Amino acid sequence: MVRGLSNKVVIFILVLLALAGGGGYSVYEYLIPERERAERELSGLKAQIQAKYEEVAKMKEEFILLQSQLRDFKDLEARGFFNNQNRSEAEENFSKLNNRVGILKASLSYKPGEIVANKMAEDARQIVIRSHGDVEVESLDDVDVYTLLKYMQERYPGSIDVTKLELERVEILNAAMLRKIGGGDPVPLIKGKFEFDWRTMTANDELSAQGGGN
Amino acid sequence: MSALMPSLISPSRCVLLIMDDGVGVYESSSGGVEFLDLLHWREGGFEEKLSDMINRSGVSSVVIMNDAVEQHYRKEKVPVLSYFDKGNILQRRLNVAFPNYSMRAAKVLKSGSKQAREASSGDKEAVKGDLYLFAAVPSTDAFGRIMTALSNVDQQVVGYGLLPVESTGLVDELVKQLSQKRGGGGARWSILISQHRGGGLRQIVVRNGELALTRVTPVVEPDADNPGVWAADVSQELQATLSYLSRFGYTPEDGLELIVVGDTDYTEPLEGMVYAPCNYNALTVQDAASLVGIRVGRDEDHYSDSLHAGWVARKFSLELPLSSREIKAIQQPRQASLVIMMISALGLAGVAGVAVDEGMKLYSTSVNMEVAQIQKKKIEEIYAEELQRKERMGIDIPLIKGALAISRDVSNTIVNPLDVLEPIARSMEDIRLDKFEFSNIGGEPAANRKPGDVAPQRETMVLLTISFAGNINIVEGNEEINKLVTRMNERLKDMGYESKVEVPLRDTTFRGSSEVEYGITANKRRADDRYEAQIRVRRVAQNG
Repeated sequence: MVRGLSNKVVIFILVLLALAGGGGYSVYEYLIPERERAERELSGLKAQIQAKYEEVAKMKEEFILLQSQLRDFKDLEARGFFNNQNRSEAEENFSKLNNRVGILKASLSYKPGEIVANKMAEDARQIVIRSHGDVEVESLDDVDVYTLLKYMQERYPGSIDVTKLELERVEILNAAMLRKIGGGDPVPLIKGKFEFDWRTMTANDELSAQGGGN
Repeated sequence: MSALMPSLISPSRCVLLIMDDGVGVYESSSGGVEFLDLLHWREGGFEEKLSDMINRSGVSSVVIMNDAVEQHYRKEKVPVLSYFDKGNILQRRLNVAFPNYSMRAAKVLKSGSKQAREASSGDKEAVKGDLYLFAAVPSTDAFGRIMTALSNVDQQVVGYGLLPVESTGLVDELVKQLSQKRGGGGARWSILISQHRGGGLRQIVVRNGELALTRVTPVVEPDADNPGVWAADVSQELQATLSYLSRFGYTPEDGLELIVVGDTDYTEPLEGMVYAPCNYNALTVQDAASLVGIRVGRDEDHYSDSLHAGWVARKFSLELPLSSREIKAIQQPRQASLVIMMISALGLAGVAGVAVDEGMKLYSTSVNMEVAQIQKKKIEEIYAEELQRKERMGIDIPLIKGALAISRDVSNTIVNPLDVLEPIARSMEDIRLDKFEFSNIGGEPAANRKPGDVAPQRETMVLLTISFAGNINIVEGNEEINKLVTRMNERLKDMGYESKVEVPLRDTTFRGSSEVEYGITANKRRADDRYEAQIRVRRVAQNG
């Protein structure tokens, strides 16, 4: 095969070279990538564990913090933040407030409610509902309208976000107007309208039970 | 393949001693040197037997020693040469010195060179140079048969040397050991006399550690019944050698160390037959071997070829290797193959090392991964327990956190119109407001927000409409409006609002248009007319 060398020497060298080459190829092609993959996996796992540890520690810390947050949550609950915006209840609520204020005329309309996408609500298995409302009012005094607004903000379940408010004095109070009012004819001196967004949270499954959703 | 593995890991070596009658085969290993056989040149199947013997010995390398009669030596002075020229010039000088011999070699004699330099130092005309020992042997048929035998085996060929040259160190070492034992100084001249299995009596004369003379002569075989015959024969040969020595500058004052290796039955009678003044040392083969740290077989009593073989076998390289085409043809490919094998073995070892290291790391990572999985499982259990504990307590953490966060976001974004209208109302004083429009339009506060984002900015604005009687002084009316704006700004500034006149009662500058009626009826009609002014209040504060 090679001059001066026997076949078995040549074969032995070739076997050695093949072993060294094959071994090297295997090490660099398989073993090292496999080790690197395993180390990456381990590193990821450690990071997950660390994150979980931190989460548990945070949870324990939060538990203390939650004692105070719990009070705020109860207040929120008491204010009716968790409400499914049932229209008949809403109308009844508005009617009560209106009667209490003594507005000459108030007409209320709601557009169909919308679901606001919110991750935190989803995590809590809740949804945020927003309904846009329009109110047209007629009153003897603008204070009545302000009172109605104040009552709505304080006593409506959830949050009332007034986006528009227009008031206009349509008549001036004078002797003739006073006589007319005294005669039992309620003449509106103030006319106006306001728009608002009504936001509440409700359980996801509750909405599904009502057949709602997007 | 068995011959290959020892070549990489075992230092064992086979010595082939070429003698006039045949070739002596010796195996040297860590266990000592062992005489295997003496193959006569006339023996049938010589090459096969020799190959088989080498293979069976399991040695890793073979060294060939010439102990035959025909060895040619010459001392020559060679001028000091540069490293690059030395090889060519020495080869040329060897060619000139031994034109008929194909196997030649040269070796610088250190002490000889020193003397030559000292001698020439005072003489400016003398050629400065080194003293070389030139040696040559003929390429015989016998040597060719050994080469044929070696070509059939796989062992490395260390080289082809001359026994007297290679054993010069042995003589030196023996003299040194004997002088130490005796407690005296060493002589300048030393002679080692030993009989080899081929029958020849080998005499090696060393002066100042360098080969001075060597002779191999036939002597009678030792006869136990008549030991004096052998001693007398050797004595004659010694006398002949001593007579040669005087030509080499030997004088009795220089001192002579005479070492005779052989069976004491024959060497002791010899002492009485040596008349030259010398330190006579008769050693058995065992004694001589133990003095130089070689182990020889117990049955080695008289013939000392094993001693020489053991001495040569433990050398890493030969002192005067003879080169020839036949040796190179076998030696060089095997040396190259050995280098390749060593490199491959090193590479394989390196790869194995890396593989083991990587494997250990992988194993360690796998073990750590298992531990990490257990830790993860535990921490998840703790997390689930913590959640359950809070759920049992009626605390829905995501609900609480989510609801509070959403409520906070909404509260931070929305604007209560009454909060803005109240300071406006206080600023009005006796001015009558006819109409206002409030708007607060913008982004959805409850919508998803990226971490760190502030509440959406909204456009918050109030447009106030104020009317005055038509007969008012326009300038005064505008002043009143301006004063109102100033008052409002004082109250609204801290709340983040700003007010300004959007439309004055009437623009009295050149930009304004003007249309006025005069007269009694006109004045009456003007009192019923109303001038309108508008003030715009805007939120200027930014969220965040």
